Amino acid sequence: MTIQYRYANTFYDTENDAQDSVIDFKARLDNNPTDWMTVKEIIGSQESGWQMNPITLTDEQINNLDDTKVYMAYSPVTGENYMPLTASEVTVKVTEFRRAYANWIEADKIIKYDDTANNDAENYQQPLAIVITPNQDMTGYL
Amino acid sequence: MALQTSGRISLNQIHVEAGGTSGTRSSMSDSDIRGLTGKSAGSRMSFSEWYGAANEVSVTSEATINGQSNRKQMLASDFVSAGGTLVIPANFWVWSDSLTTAALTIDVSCTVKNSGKIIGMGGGGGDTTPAQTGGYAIKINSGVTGVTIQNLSGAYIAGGGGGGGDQGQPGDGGPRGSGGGGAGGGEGGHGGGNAHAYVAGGAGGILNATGGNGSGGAGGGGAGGGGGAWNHDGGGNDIMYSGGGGGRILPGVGGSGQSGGGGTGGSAGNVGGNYTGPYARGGGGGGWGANGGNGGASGGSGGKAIEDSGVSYTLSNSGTIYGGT
Repeated sequence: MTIQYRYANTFYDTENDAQDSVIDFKARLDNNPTDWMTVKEIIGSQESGWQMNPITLTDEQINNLDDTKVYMAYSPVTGENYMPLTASEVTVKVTEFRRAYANWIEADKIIKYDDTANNDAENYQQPLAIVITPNQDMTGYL
Repeated sequence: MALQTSGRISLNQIHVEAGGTSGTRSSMSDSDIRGLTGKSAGSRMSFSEWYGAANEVSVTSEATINGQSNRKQMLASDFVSAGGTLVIPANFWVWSDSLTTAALTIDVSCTVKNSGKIIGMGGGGGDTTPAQTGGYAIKINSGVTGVTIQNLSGAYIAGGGGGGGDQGQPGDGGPRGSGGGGAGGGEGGHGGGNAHAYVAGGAGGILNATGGNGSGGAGGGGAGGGGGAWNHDGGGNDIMYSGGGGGRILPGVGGSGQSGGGGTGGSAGNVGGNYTGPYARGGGGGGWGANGGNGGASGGSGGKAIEDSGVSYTLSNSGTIYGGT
């Protein structure tokens, strides 16, 4: 019989720990696009084909793209894959893909699982899943 | 590119078409050169017989599945030699039923012209084991250079969808809500657990078909990702439900989650649906190349469209790609 709290696919023993993790997660959503997307610089053209190299851009590089270059971007969350993209088009995808990631990982929800009190016949042994709104406002990421 | 159809033609041109290096030694009796025209060793030959010759192979089907022409888990070198061109015809499926073996493994320098559907295996839905990651559609082996992939109009390259996460019940266990299978034939998670007998998840779909429904009336089979399911012990009656299987339809629509239960399966280009209450349940399977939905536990990751194994390659795309490249 336990009570646990899940936030961003990680379990915590207390709500305070879960609330603290929201602060760290918010900072990552603001600064770390490699958490939710992959970007590569590509060279070539549609006619001749695009040279795909195995090197992926870092967070810092994605946050400071070169307007003279062309890119491929994909979301590991949704599987969407786009190329060729300009720097400004990638920046739009950063926000789009982050929204998909935040929704998938439920950035606006701490889930409290409680299997200490649920013994009604229909849902016997099924833990209650109670949604707690984080103290940090995460709705802007959804 | 095929050799010219008239005029002067040189041995060097033929040699290069066969995959040789320009300016290096060759002879008309070399097997790779004879192979362009099917000439046998020692037979009479004329240079004009090489007009229009191409080191290009169009894949033909093994036994059809559900009326679909197909090949399972192709190895490029079984069809073309270095420098050759492998042609995947329109409406032809190249597929895998293994999460660790890509639908097409490229182990030789070549060009792939895809007008068909190259699809990775879908990850299984979570149950008492975690949801699985989808498989690759194409893998280029480490150290293989000179690879060009042309995904032509109407064609697909799609990584398998990730399996849906199970309910991830904390504490002392009990019945577990299971996840749906990912697009690409991922099997739905089993129902039951701990003291309860397992019931099988919905089977993955065959080519151009939806996945099977989960047992116990739960989790509709998905065209894309299978719907997640839940299970319960109805006051001691031990009614166990399982996740729906992922389908193999492109682009495909996700299966529905069980009413009051699991998350909805993802359509192509969409993550599987989460399920978060009022009780813990399983998540839906991911669409092509997409993550599975979360139950209490995390959904599996989507499979890549093209795994490069750390090498560079050339890609052109006029079709559709789901998953990483």
